[in-house]
Amino acid sequence: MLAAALAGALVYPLIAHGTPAVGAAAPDFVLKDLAGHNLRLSEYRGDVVVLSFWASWCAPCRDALSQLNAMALVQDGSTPVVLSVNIEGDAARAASVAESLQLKFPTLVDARQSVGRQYDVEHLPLTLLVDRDGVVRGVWSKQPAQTSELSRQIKELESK
Amino acid sequence: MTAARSNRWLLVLAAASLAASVPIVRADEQARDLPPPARIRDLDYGDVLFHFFQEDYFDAIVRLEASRDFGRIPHHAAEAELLSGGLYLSLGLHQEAERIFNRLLAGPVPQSVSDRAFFYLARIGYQRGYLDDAWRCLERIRAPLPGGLEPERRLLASNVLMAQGRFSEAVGQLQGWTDQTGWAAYARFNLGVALVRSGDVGQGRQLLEGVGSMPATTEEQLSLRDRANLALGFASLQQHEAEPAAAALNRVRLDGPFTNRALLGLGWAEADANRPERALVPWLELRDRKLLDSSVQESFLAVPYAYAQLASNGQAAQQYQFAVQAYASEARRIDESIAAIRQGGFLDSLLAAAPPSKDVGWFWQLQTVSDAPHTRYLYHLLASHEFQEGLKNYRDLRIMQGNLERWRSSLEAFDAMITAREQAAVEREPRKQQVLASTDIAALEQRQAELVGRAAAIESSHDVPALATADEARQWQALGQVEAALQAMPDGPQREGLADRARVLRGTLLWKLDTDYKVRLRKLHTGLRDTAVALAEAKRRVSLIEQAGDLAPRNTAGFAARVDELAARIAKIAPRIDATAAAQEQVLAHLAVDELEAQKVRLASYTTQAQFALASLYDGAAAGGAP
Amino acid sequence: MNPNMQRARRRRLVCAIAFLAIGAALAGGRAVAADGAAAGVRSVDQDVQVLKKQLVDLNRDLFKLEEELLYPASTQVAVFLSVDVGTFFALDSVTLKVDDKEVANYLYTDREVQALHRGGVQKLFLGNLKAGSHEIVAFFTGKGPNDRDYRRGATLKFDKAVGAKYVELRISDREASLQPEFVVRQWE
Repeated sequence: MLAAALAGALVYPLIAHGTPAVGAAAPDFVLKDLAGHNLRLSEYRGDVVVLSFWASWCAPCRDALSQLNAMALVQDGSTPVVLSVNIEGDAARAASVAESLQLKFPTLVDARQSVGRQYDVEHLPLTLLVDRDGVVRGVWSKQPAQTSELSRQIKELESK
Repeated sequence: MTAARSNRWLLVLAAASLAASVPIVRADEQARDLPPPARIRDLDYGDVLFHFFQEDYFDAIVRLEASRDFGRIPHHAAEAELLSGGLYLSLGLHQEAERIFNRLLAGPVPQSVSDRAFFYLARIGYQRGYLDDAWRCLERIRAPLPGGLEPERRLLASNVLMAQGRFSEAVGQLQGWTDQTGWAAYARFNLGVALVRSGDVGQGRQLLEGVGSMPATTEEQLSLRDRANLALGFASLQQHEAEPAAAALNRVRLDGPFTNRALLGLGWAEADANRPERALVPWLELRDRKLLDSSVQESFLAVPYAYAQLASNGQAAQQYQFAVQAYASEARRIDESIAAIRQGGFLDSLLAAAPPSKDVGWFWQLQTVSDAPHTRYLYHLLASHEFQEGLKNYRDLRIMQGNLERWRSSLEAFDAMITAREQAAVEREPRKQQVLASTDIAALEQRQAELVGRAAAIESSHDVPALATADEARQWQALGQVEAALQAMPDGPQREGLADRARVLRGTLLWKLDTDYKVRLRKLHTGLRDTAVALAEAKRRVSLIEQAGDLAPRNTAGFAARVDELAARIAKIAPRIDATAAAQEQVLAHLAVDELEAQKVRLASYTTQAQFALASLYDGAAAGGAP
Repeated sequence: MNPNMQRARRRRLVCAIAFLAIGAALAGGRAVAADGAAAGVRSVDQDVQVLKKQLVDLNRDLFKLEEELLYPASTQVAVFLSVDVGTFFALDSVTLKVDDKEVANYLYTDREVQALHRGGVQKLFLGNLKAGSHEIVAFFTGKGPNDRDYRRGATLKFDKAVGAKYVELRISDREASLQPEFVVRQWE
């Protein structure tokens, strides 16, 4: 109810720029994934979400994605939603990377590079952890998030 | 059955009836039941529905209220009112919803709509513990509800009545139940309990037997069956009917929430049938489990009891001592928990220790509790509606704070925008004054009119001399003077000579003027046109500036006032939200502490029993029985 | 102690413990809270309900202010999207241009499409236009009959007077030709 509805209801264009900090609401966006579905972040309210921003030319990003892939397979009981966002906006390149890494989660293509700007992605990889109410709870920039730390935080958030 | 026995039945079933409740139903079910809209005739109403169908209830209600205020949904007035009732209901504002439904349903609304509305109200009222409200709404339902809602209504009515202790009336609600949907099992359970509670133990028990042996697949069905069997089992134990007790308890699931109690009861059934060695089997199993469960706590007493029955008094004594120690350390842990709760931050740590829950929003529930320190003892408390509702409120309050925060920053932006507009208007003012001052439109217009008039006169009378140049005009004037003088001269050759010359001069002049007349006329007209254009332009600019000048200050003053008022409202409501959240936390903390204290009391009584039993054993040993 | 007494004691013990067992089973349901606690719960709940209502009212007023400030009625233009049953067209995205400038590009999720099919109408665009004539062009992208990629456009020229202008983009099924139909129309 309010939980879902308010946390992000009536988002205004007058929002501060910059990568959202811990405690701030994760800006909403909608992108098409590699399978052709339009996925909107706010529709995942109620789930804990991991957002991973990457580009094909960023090697540490592949590490980050592989780690997330491994984590997604291992977690039992808890199932965070993982969404990877390719900020280049090149669906073909994104698809080939996703296939080579055999990613189990959706890869969104930022076709207009709008989300990259919205989240002010300056350094890659960028990983964000978002709680069930759409609030950012963890930010890892420049290097992949440590799996153990990420898992721990996810477990904590899922318990709420 | 004797009064004493039936009293014990009552106690047993009191517990059971607390547990049998209508399962929480989702808001979207309510949504689907609301009448679907006819053709959309106001686009803004469609916008509200767009959000409603996606379960964005808060967005939907805000847009609905705003659109109504703007007068944008005239064609859907009644529907919108009904929808707003449903939306408030989904947001947990059931009293507001009731107000709306009452207002609306006093008017010409179909019976079916009215009945359904009150059913939802009653359901929410019951779930939230407002029993009187729930009953009042149920009474306003006039006709049987359509489809699956009618059995649900009867079940709900029985639950409300039983919660109010009106058991014979509950029996009335449930008798003659023919429906065979999923509600039927709950109805049988409730009827069984209601019958017993109102005195008809035999029939009640029969019904519960039926529920206890029914086929079950879903979690809800399995849970209901377990509860029925548990009640039957323990009641049989009370009557020392060991075989029926064991039969019923054996039907309880091995891996469900009632297993521990069933194991305890099974042990007692064996003990009662004088088979203590067989009683040890479930009891030892139980004792290995987590001590936070009351059945497990009791097994610590039951095991040594069994040993005593088997005349292994040494073992028994040892086990009783073990029990005393275990109880003591558990009591200490409870004390720690109580202290931690009193310190604060209770709810946040509670939320942090609970396992995942998929539901979001009003129907979010804390489903089960993990073994984290403070929460282990509060299993039953947390399952209660009271606590769940309180927790939901707490969570909602936190979210409200976020909403206000976002609007606060938006208002700041609006303020800046309004200030900028005011600024712009202020800067415009001197420029406007300047333009107005340097442009005397009226005078210009007058001159223009004059010129136009003169030009028209000249043209219509072909007044060629009027367009003469200055020189020509002088010549013409001079010529006129000469001609006048000529008139005065006496007739004669001199006069004629001069007159001839004057005539030639006049002709030449006229010819010249005539030739240039058309050109000059054209130039005059062009000049007039240009002036007209310039005048029009000047008028337009002045008018625009005046308009803007008039509009802006009026607008910004209005907006600025509204921004101030809204900012004040935010400032007023924010601390109240904080205070209420704190109060809610306090209430829940009290409930938790009460529960923990109750657990301590139970542990204390167990400890006493253990010590009493130990004393008995030592007495027996002292009197000569071998340890 | 003689065996009879022993048995008697044992019996009392059994009864005592049996009663406790039942008691434990009963206390499995939480003990009813004291009246004081119940009253506390109720009054806080009332406060929460009151606050929530105030919050809804506040949000309504803020929403209205925002719209009047940013999109005053004299210049306001609103473009809505509505969809018919949708057998012939699965909507993916809509691009909107006003006077040759792109003002909206919306990707639709499954949830949104379902809401549209159920009769919801999306407020796609809200903006300001001066009085005079303007042109709206909408491009609809999705999957057409036979699940093939489908892209269609529709245009509307209109005159903006003083006063809010509503435009509806409507996607409907045309049974006769088994094709979807895309219409842009203005409302009074």
